[in-house]
Amino acid sequence: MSIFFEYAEVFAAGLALTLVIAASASLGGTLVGLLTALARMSRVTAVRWLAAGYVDVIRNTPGLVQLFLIYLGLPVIGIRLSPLAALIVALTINNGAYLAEVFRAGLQAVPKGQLEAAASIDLSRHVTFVEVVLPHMLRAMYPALTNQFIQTVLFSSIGTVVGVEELTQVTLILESRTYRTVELLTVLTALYVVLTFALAWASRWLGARLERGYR
Amino acid sequence: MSTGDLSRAATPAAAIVRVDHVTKFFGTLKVLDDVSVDVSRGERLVIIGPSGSGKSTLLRCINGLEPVSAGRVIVDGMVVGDPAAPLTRIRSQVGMVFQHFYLFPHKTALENVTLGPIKALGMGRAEAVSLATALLERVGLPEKAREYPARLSGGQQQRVAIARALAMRPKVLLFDEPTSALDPELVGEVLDVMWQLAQDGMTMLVVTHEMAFAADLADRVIVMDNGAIVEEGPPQQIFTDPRTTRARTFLTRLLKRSERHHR
Amino acid sequence: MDWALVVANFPLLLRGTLTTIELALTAFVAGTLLGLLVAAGRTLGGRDADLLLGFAVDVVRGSPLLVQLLVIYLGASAIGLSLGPFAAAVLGLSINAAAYLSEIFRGGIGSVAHGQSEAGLAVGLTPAQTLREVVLPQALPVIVPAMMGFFIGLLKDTSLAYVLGLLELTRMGKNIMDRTFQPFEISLVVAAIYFVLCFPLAQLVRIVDARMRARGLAQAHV
Repeated sequence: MSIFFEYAEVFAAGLALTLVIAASASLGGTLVGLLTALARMSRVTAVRWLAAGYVDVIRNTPGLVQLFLIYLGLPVIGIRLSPLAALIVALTINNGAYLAEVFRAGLQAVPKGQLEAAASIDLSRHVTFVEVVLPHMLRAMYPALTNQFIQTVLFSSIGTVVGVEELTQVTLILESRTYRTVELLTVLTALYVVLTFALAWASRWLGARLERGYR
Repeated sequence: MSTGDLSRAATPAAAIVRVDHVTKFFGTLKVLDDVSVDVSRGERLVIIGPSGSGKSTLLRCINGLEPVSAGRVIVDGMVVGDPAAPLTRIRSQVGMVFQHFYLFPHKTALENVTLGPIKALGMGRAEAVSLATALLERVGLPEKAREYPARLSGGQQQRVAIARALAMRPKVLLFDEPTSALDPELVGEVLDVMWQLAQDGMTMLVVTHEMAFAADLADRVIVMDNGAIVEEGPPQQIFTDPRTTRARTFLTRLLKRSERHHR
Repeated sequence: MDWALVVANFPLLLRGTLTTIELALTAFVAGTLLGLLVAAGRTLGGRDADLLLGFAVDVVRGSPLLVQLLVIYLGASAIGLSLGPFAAAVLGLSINAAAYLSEIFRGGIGSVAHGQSEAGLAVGLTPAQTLREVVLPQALPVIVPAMMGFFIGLLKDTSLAYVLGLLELTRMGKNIMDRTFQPFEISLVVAAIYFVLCFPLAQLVRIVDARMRARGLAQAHV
């Protein structure tokens, strides 16, 4: 598979963009997801329903269609985004809905009194939350959160449909120029597999490190 | 010897189970250390000892649930683990009753008992049902045939488990702490069934902490510690005057505790 | 917003929807059968089979479905086989489904207490019989809701067959919006159709999950 070394910079550039896209969408998605999860606990019915509606709609429609809506549909009402921006926005919104569910499950497992303790100015209750409850929550959500990141890395490949030069797209461009289809697709698959293996290993290592840090 | 004969190794006529210099490792941990014991037909052998002494592992090596690391186990002339002696055949000769019963929760008591004969022995359904009904009667639970395990008490579940083991018409029954998971008031009904089985002549290997019952039931008692047999003998001798220090320490501690319970 | 053109093109969208459903159902059935084989192979086939199949499953789960579809479609023609978009999509989705479903099967099997399979073996059943009579029936309350949830994901994943040019719902919608210059309205309608397909199924999964869990608990003990 010498083609990997022949075009190493191309693959590297595509891989780098893939990671940037995934990281941005995950950070943004975490913010959106947290806000949504909190909104679902709001006392205002309309806020609860909006949040629930957002989650239900996103989780029951394909990400590709969401991308089309943002990239092709929004210009009609005046919002024109570059392919890259559209991809990141779409993935952020998509991520946000799935992460909202992870956060919701995490928050639901915490007794209501503890949540009030977190917000209270009573220092001892506040400290209890931070020292005891929060780590437990984070520990429980950690696998789902890291898994969602890996899924986002894989899903970023839909960027090829709108021309974003992430890993899949740069490989397809190479394919159309060199016609070395089998080699290129093999390298592409192998790169993703190695990447997900590495990310999974890294998240296990990080998880173990965080555990130790807390002892 | 031809390969066919290897599975029918020569054994003393009376020994239905031979444990021959068996050693067992779990990774680097030695769980059984050169254990040898012969069990005769109709004998009631009780195995006692502290937790982790290898008692359960020994039973599980006899019916092939655990492979041995060295040595051999021979059941009714068949070498356990020998490719010529299928484990399914050996296990139809050796029944097992587990500490946690492990009744199949998705099947009724009757279906629990008929499953083995139908699937493993190829018995017809009608014949299996009448066999199972008779066995449930034998353990005192004829009216529970159509109940699911969740609706049975622990003692009832264990008795159904005994009926399930008997359904395969085994030559030997292994009991792995059969009453340890039971509430104290339910222990008696299971011990009664076991006592009746002994009276009917069943060969039994029992791992238990019920010392009074062990003293009554056993023809021979084996004391295990750290994977090895440290003492062996008739119950009267073991329980009243153990020879080795390890057996003595274990028994004194244990008997003191069970005395307190029996007062 | 001009909805008249949308309405006029609705029959085409419906045809795309039918292709989507056909694709999803076919891949689901094929994926289930193949996934069962993989799970059985890994559970009963000994260490080598487990490692080999496990590696294959990891490769499929560790790469994007979109890439897998391209591998099958472009790869087939590169080695001289001619696969149409539908066949390539079915094959790709089936293999992907088999990998994920085999993990669902193994997870469900693993959730059954080890003592249950030991009790089955102790009574004289073969490992295959133990799997079929004792373990699988107890694994079903875990497996069935997970399979149903996966099917919903599969319905959405059929949209990736877009890249093969297959006229499933998403590609059909794109063709229409390119023709009518109404990307916003068409995208919304396409999204709405997927929603109508998936949302009721998602609610059904919640009900089935609760039911199966209740049934499982009623029969479970130590």
